[in-house]
Parts: sequence; structure tokens; C-alpha cells
Amino acid sequence: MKDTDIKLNDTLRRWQAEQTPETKHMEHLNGRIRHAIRKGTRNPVPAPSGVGTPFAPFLGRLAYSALGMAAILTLLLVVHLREEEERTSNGHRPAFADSAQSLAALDGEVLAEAAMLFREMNASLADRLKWVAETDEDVQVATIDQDRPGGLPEEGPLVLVRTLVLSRPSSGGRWRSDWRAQVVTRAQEMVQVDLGGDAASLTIWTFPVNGEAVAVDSQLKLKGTLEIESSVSEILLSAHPAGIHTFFRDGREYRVMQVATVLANQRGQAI
Amino acid sequence: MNDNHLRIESDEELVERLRMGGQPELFDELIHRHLEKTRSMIYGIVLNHHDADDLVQEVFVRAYRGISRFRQKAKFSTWLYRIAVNTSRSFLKKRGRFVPVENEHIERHGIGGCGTHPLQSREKLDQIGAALAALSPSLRAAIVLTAIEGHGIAAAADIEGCAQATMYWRIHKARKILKSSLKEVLEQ
Repeated sequence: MKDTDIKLNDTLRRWQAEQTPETKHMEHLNGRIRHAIRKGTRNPVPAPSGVGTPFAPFLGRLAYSALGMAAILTLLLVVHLREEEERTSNGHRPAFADSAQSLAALDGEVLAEAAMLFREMNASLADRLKWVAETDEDVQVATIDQDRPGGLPEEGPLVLVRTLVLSRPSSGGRWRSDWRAQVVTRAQEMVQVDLGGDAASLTIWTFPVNGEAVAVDSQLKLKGTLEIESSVSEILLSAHPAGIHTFFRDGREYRVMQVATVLANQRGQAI
Repeated sequence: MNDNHLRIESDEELVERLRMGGQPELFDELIHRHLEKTRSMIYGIVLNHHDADDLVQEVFVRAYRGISRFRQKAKFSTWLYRIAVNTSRSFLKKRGRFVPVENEHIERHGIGGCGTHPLQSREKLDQIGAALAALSPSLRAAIVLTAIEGHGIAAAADIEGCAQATMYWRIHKARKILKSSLKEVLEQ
């Protein structure tokens, strides 16, 4: 453990010690709990929903569909890239307000940090780290099964994909970021991020194209206040944010944006 | 003298006796053993003394009522702490992300400004509380379970019901954020 980690732990432990209530308070609380238990013993309730529930679903079957998608996408890549190139050269790229672009933009520091964190953790997991996903609320990690058929994949590129939901008043104005997720994954691995709610998830599969673009197949399902269902296969020019889904609701314009780039291989070498 | 009278029963033995129809008083011993740590963990996540008291009560009541579903594969403490973390996170989800950092307890104890301890400054305590409050609930739970409560990564992952790799990453991320937000405090 680093010295700074030790100092942080020490600081946090001392802080916690300062928050500890007096013995008298704890004795009162103890009595209160015992009283509550005796009062309610005739009315049993179910155990908390989270107890004993596996955290992550098994995603094996998605890996097979990834192989099929890889073949189809490879065929589509060349055609799409040519179309993209023509649109760009003709000045017909979709134009987004500057604020939307800047909210989705990737800077060098973010890329370097993401690559470094992935490498550090991959090393600590004996090269078994598959992907890492960060949302506003959580971090999720997937590792490669020890007994995966065919063993560990060959050392390939890492891809960073950032997905954002932006919104602004329908009449126009500045965009604001309502939700975002950043995934760093080995290329061609199926990423499925559990977003907590009922069937809320983000599924991503990537395929780098000639170092200039990344094919991204993604499905975003958000529930609750921000309800979105978006399923898109796009070829994104490296580090160029693109709008992949737009809709209007309750007087606001919503745009799902995505930006992807190849980071490096697992050893940190640029490719 | 019977040796059984001298031996301290483990949590799991107490639970087994309770499941076999033992009196509720057996559970009092489990409350006594785990109240302080459970409340401390809950407080670290919800950052409010009043809420921590209510939640720790809810946790023990739930544990008592669900004791028949406790599987002896896990340690009782792990099972209990998992209920505590889940209950705290459900509470925060209902309340929303905002976590009010209170200083009522600090004021009651007159700690601020004593100057006998590097942390005994109201300002520093507030800074640390605010830095913890700024973390997402899952990052905060990760740092509370490991850095503050001293659980290892495997145990913390077990309590949270997540993969060890996920716990490792959450801790890494939480440390990074805290080192940045508490830079001044840590440099002093």
C-alpha cells in the first residue's frame, strides 16, 4: 500500500472515531432495538431483497452473438467509412451545438488515466480484466473466466467508449449532461453494464477499424426519470463525438451521444 | 465445572440455537456484539446520526426476522453487514443522491478547536465529511468497508455482493477522488 493510501486510511479512521456516539447513546440504541424486536416478533417480514442475490448476471450467450456481429460489421465497415469520408469532405457532417461537442469531448488526460487504471488493474488480475464501466453512480468490472474456452484472448487493443445523454429545451439553448457512462474494454468483448433498475442496462461491443475509427454496437436502456431505449450500430471516427439517437419529450430535446477511441494495447503500447 | 459455561459461543452457534427455537434473548448477545460496528458502517454511508440510528434498528429487526433464511455458509457478521449496506443504499436511493453532512454530534461533544489532535478541527472534520458525501453511494460504501472498517477486498466484495474486481476498482476510484478533494487535509 502506498504512503498516501495509508495516510488517507488513517485520516478517515480518525474522522470516523470522532463520529462515534457516547456509550450512553449506544446503550439507549441497544435497548430501542431489543424493544423493537420483541414488539414485532409476531409479524415476520421477508428478508431484504439484496441478501443472497448474485450481483451480476451471466453473460455467456452474448459472447456467441458477438462473433456473429463481428462478421457482419466487418463487411459493413468499409462501405460506411467511405460514406462518412464523403460526408466529411463535402462538409455535411451532422452539426451539433458547441456545448454538446464539448460535453462529449475526450481529453488527453482522461484517456491516459483510463489506460493506466486499466493496465494497473489488469496486471493485478493476471491479465484477466475484460472491461470496466463507470457511470455517474457506480463502477462495474468484468473479468475473463479462468476456464474460458480457448484460454485468454491475444493481447489486443483497448477501446474507450463514452456514452452520454444530453438534453436542452426544445426551443434550443445550452446542452446539459443528464447521464453518462464510460467503458474501457478489450476490443470485441461484449460489455453488459447493469444499471440497477428494472431491465436498465448498457450493452456495448466494439471493433477498431484501421486505427481511424471504431465500430460500436450499443444498446442503452434507462428507466425511471430518464427513460430511454436506444439500439444503434455506428462506426465512429476516433475521438469524434457523434449523436446516435435524438428525441423530444416534455418540452426538451434529448440526444444520446457517443465517442470512442482506441487507447493502446494491454501493455500500454500505442497501436 | 462444566467447560461449556466458560466457552464463548460463536455468532453462528447462537444463530443455530435461535433457529432451533431459542429465546429472543439469544439475539441480544448478537446485537451487543455487532451494534457498534454496524452503526459505524451505516453512519459512514448515510452520514447522518439520526438516520444511522433508525437504519441500524431496521437492520437488526430485519436480521432477526430473517434469521431462518440465514445460511451457515457465510459468517453471520457478513450476512448482517450485507443487510446493513443494502438497507443504507436503499435508503439513499429513496432520499436521492444528496447527503446532508451534519455536525450535530461534533458540536454536542465540543470537539471543534481543541487543538490536541490533528483532526480535531471542525473545519477538517467538515471537509472530510463533505468529501465522503460527494462520493457515489457505492464508492462510499467501498471506502467505508475497507479503509474505515478494515475489511479486506474479498470480505468487502462479499458484503456488497459484487465481484472482487469490482470492489478493487471502486476502492481505487474512491481513493483517487478523496486524495484530490482532501489534498489540503492530507498535506497537513
